[in-house]
Amino acid sequence: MDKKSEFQYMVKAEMPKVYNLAYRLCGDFHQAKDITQETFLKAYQSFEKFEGRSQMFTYLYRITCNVWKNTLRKKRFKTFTSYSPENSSGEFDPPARDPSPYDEMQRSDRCRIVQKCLDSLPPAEKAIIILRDMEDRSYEEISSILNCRLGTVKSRLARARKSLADRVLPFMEVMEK
Amino acid sequence: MNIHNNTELLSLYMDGKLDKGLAGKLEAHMKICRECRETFQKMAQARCYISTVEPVEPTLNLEKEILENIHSERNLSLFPSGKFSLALGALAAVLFVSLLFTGKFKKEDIRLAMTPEETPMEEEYKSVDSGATTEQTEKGDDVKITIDRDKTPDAPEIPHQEPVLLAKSAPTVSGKFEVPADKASVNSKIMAGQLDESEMETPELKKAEEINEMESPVSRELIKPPEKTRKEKSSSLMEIRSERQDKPLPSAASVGTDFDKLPSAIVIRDNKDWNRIWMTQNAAQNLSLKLPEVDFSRKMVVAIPSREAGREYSVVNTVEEKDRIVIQFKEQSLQKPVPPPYQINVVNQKPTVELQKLD
Repeated sequence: MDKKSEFQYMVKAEMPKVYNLAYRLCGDFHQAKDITQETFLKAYQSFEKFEGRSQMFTYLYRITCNVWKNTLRKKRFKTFTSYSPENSSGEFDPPARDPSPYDEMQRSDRCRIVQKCLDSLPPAEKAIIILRDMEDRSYEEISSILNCRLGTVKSRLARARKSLADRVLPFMEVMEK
Repeated sequence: MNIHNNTELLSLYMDGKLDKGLAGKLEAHMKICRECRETFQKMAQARCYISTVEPVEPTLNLEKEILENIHSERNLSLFPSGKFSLALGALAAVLFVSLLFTGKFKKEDIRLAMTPEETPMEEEYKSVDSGATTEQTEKGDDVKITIDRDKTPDAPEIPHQEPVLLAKSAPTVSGKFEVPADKASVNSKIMAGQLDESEMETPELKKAEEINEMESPVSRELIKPPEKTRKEKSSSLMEIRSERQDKPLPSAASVGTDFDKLPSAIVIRDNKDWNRIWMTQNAAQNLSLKLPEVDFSRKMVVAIPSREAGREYSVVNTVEEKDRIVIQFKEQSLQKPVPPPYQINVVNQKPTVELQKLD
């Protein structure tokens, strides 16, 4: 398989994971899309140099996290467009969900609350907790993705879990009442 | 090692990363220490919530778009990969050095545009394509190198972002949401901002206040609708604004991030979402306020948080332009009294909404 086909295959296989990670990091579908595109663009630019010493997803996740960090630095201006599935062309559509009324609303509200609480964490803690508790990555992989020491991963993860628990649980209690 | 109140140990224990001896000690400690046991339970519960969040799926076209972008990038790349790039680089270096030595280069003429994103909007030199032709002209002491991308047969369009141009202010009508007299419960006062000091400390209120602090569940993960479906009508712009009350509310715990950002605006374009956000806010605060009517065939609602992440926002003006609404707001550090959670702006339908911060 030549490099071009190999890259195309990689996009197909890894893009959903990269997109999901990007969305969890930034909390916005549009921005997640931009981050995903930029990630693969950067991956393509350095694909020749990729020697396969780390796993492909580690390589891509590292780029994704770096792109996201850059967007945090750059982002001072936001453009909003609206949620309007009926009129959408489908191009910017978030994933289709079954429109069952109350349970669905509660489930998606719970997801949003979790996302919002994640967004309120400092970026470094947020990235670690997403990689560990959502993406189920090992400490070593997280250390490699975020380019930090194993000890830092452990301490930040503990801090992030504690902060997140303090933020999420009161909302969940209110929701479940 | 101190075991009590050691969240790192609890976190490692949760992941099964503690050795048997330490895990045993921690388990024994948790049996007798309620505080550590509760902390562990909370962390585990939060983790459970996080792990049940379903993954989001990318849009159908994204893979295609990525590959197309990469294809465009390959065409746009100034120095293509491989030996050819080395040769081109060497040639450029020789040309550059020779121009320096002849003294015909002015420092301000050295500008390169690598990608469309990095190209300044008023770029004198156009973005560069690998197959593009170059021109070199001399006028007086200046040497100008123009690399013309347009001469390449299949050069892709460079996205051009319009600067925000402010039009004159659109007419506005202000109003406020009224709290029904028969529902003047403690919770209803949260929304109206009429709470006495003595009523502020109940846990229910704090929770409700924290809910306010978060945005409503109506999604702002947003979709750009096709422009043809949006009717741009010149009807007057109506603004409904929750009025700020004088009595203070307890400030909610800050959920802000530590970087500079704009408030999380919510744009609602149909009755279904409008109804949903209203219901959710009512439910969260145990209210039953009547849903304000909005004609979504012509209007849309933009909700700007009155406070978020330790900051307070107040909408100053809405400016209507051809294809956008610019909402101008002022920002200040959160102070008491705390205003109601959102400032509701009902404005004409446009494909794009922008927030503009005023100094």
